[in-house]
Amino acid sequence: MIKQLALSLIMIVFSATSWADTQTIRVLDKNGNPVNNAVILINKSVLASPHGAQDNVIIDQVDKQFVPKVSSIQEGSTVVFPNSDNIRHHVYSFSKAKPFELKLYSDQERPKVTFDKPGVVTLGCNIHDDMIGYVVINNALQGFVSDASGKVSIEFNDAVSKQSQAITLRVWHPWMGDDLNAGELIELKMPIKNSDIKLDVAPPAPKKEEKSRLEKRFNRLGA
Amino acid sequence: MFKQFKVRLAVIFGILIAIALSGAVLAVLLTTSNQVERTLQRELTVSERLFRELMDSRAEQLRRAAEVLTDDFGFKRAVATEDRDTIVSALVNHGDRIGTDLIALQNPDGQEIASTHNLDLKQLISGEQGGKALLVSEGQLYQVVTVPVTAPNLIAWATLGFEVNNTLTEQLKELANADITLWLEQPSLLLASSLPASLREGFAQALSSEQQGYDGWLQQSGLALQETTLTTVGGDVVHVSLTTSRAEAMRQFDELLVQILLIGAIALVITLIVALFVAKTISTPVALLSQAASKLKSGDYSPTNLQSRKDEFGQLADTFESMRSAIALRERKVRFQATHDQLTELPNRRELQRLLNEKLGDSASSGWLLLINIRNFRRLNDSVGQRMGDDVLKQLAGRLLSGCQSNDILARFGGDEFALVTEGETESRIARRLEDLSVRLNVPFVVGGSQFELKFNCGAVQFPNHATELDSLIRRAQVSVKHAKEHNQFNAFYQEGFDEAHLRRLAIVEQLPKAIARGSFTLVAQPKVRATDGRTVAAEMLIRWHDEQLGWVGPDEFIPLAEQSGMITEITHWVVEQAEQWVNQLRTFEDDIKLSINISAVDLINDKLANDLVALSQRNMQRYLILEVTESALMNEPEKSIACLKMLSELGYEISIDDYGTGYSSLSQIRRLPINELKIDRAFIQYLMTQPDDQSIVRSTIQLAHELNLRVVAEGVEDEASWHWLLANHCDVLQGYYFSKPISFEELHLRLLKEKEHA
Repeated sequence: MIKQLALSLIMIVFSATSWADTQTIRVLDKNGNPVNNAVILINKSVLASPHGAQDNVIIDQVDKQFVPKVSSIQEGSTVVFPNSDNIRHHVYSFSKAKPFELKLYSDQERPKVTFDKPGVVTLGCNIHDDMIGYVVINNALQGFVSDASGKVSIEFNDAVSKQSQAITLRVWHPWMGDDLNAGELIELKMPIKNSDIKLDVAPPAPKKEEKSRLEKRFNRLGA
Repeated sequence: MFKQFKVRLAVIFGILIAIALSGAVLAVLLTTSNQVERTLQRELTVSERLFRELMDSRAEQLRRAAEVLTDDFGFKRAVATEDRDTIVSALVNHGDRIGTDLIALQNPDGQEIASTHNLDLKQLISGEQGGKALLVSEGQLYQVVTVPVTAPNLIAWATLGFEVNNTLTEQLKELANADITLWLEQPSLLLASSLPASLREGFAQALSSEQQGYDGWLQQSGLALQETTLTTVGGDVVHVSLTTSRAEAMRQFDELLVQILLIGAIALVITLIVALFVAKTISTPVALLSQAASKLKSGDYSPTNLQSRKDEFGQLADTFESMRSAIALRERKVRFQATHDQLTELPNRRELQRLLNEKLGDSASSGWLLLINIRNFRRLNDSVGQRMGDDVLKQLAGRLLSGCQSNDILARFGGDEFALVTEGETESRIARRLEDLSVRLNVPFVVGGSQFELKFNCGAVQFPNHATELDSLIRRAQVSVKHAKEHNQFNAFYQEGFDEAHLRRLAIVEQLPKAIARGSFTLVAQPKVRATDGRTVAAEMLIRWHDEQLGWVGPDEFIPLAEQSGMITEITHWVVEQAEQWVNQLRTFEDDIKLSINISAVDLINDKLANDLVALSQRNMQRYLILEVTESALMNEPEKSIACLKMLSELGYEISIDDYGTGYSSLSQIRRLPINELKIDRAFIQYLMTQPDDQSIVRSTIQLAHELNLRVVAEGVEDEASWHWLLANHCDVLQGYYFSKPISFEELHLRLLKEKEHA
């Protein structure tokens, strides 16, 4: 799995360096802090090498969390849920774009789900309420997910870079709800001088993510 | 301390109210403390029941929550995997959902699949508590429910436990309305409590302390207790102590108490006001009476302004008022008596003096003081009795009053003296009034059918001309009266010098007693010569007095005063002594000479002279002395005087009647006297040669005297013609300036010697 991931990354880097104009955009919240897991939706026509549907997008379960927490895929892509934990998970979705259920499965099973409608799919685990993940499915648009420093790198095609025209972006984040249309529309002038996009959102008050007392009690007794 | 009546009344009322209030407060306190205890107990019982119900309903909720968990299909599926880690993660996930504090999962046989605590799991599924129970683990109390997990057969028992901790007890407290403390009996351990932290600690210490015990601690902390016990799954006994603060419960009664005290205070204030008001209605009339009484005390007897009331105070005021008027009447009477003479009801001497003082003090006032003295009133009183005397005085007062003008003051100034003060009159008008008065008083007084003619002497003094001082005014009036009396007049107006003469008399009276001792007296003698040849046959001894301050004082001045004061006795004694000495010296060469001594009326009724003369007669002195007596001297006490003269005559002394013709002399009376000589008063001799009347009187007197075998002496012979006339008319002896003025002993001695030589 790690090899595949590495391979795909190498592919992106390669394409950016060979014949495209790579721009880096930073996403900030209203307080000016970098926003992780923001999805920048952009028309494929301006991209140097837009994606098509993929077969082996991986959403892993690590330490009772989805990794990555937010995934952006093209319509018709298939996602693999490999489960890297040593306990079982029961992943489900009630989203209209793709309702499904992966009953308790272990790391042996690697179940797959194909997402064939655009939209946002919210992922949960039946026995671990704290596990929440998002899959953003597009067809005409392509999504880019910001990293921990809020940065997104996008390769625009020559036409866009040279004509210096303004392009429109939509920026969505799970904080905005599960409708992509709730995302903010941003006008971006090319070539990009100021790469910061400031969103009119702020992170919700962080939940106290202390470890469950009960879990500690069970752990006290040893495995 | 509480002098004022109103204050005293208020204090008494106040004390009564205070006693009543304290009683009420005490009763309330007793009742409330009992009531509080009962209420507390009742409330705690209710609290206990509530606690039990709350615990039961909570257990029921727990059971439902547990069932929701175990009914969850995912949960069942997880349990069915028999994968412990998955089961644990599911237990944790679901346990956190319902907030459980304890989870245990065991297979149908009772063996542990997973558990958060070390528990004796078999007990949990014994089912005796119906799946609902308490358990204590690691010093923590849990409320637990054990429910089956079925798929569809029993695949496991799930036990969920919830801590019974301070937070829970605090919540329960809100519902049960009492503090809830749960503690383990063995070992003594506080499990949970809704008490405040400090009390909670105290409770825990009380549990672990053997001696005090927590009962004592509860008492000390002011907590009321209701206790019940619960038993845990493991058989441990858990005590449930429901406590509530006594002070809290008392608080509402404290409010009641405060209200009672407040009402009491208000009642007290109202009482005091009422008491003061009541006291005022009593004390005001009393104060008015008191004021009226002190007014009376200070001598103000004017009517009081006491209100007329219908109550007892009104009666008291009426009584007071009648007492006041009685006192005022009596006071007027007493004052009248003090200032008036009872007999005549005229102002008395003191009142007159007061009135006169007022007039003298008023510079605008001028007028006259008349003193009217009844002559010889004492004699009248003595002879007819005081009652008649009083009658006379009353009549006299009436007569005087009838002559008074409207603003005159008539007063009884002394026993036999009246005073009349009249203002603004001239001397001539006063003189006319006195004349008028004299006429009125000359009318005889008729008392007891007899008529009495009285003589009066009246002195008139004008003020402020004659005197500005009361004392001198009165004295000058008295001097004027005396002057009138001495001059036998009805009245005398005061004249300058009256008072000086009076004062001189006073000085004479004062000096007289010292005169003999000082040797101020001297004796001279006026020869008495034989009419036929002018040869000295006798000499009248005359006393002379020269005083250092008064100068020469004539016998006319001091002899009457000496007679009044009794000093005359001493003087006569001295004269008699001197006479003896003279005789003893003279008779050495002239044995026929006689010395005349003037004897006063006083001497005749006094044994002193008689004794002296008796003693002299023993030395054969009687043949040398002639005792000269005035007719008037015999008038005072005729019997005694005549007896004395007879005795002296018998001793051999010659008796001579001096100043014959001036008094009421009658030869018929003289006939009865043992006398040897008659001295015709100088008044008849002085102008003998020009007064034929005097000549006939003298001639007939000589003839009559000779008829009675008396020697006749003529006094005051001052010329030769008189001598010859007297000789022709057979007068025996002559005395006068023609022959010799009064001369000293030495001159007399010489004269006698010369006469002897010529003889």
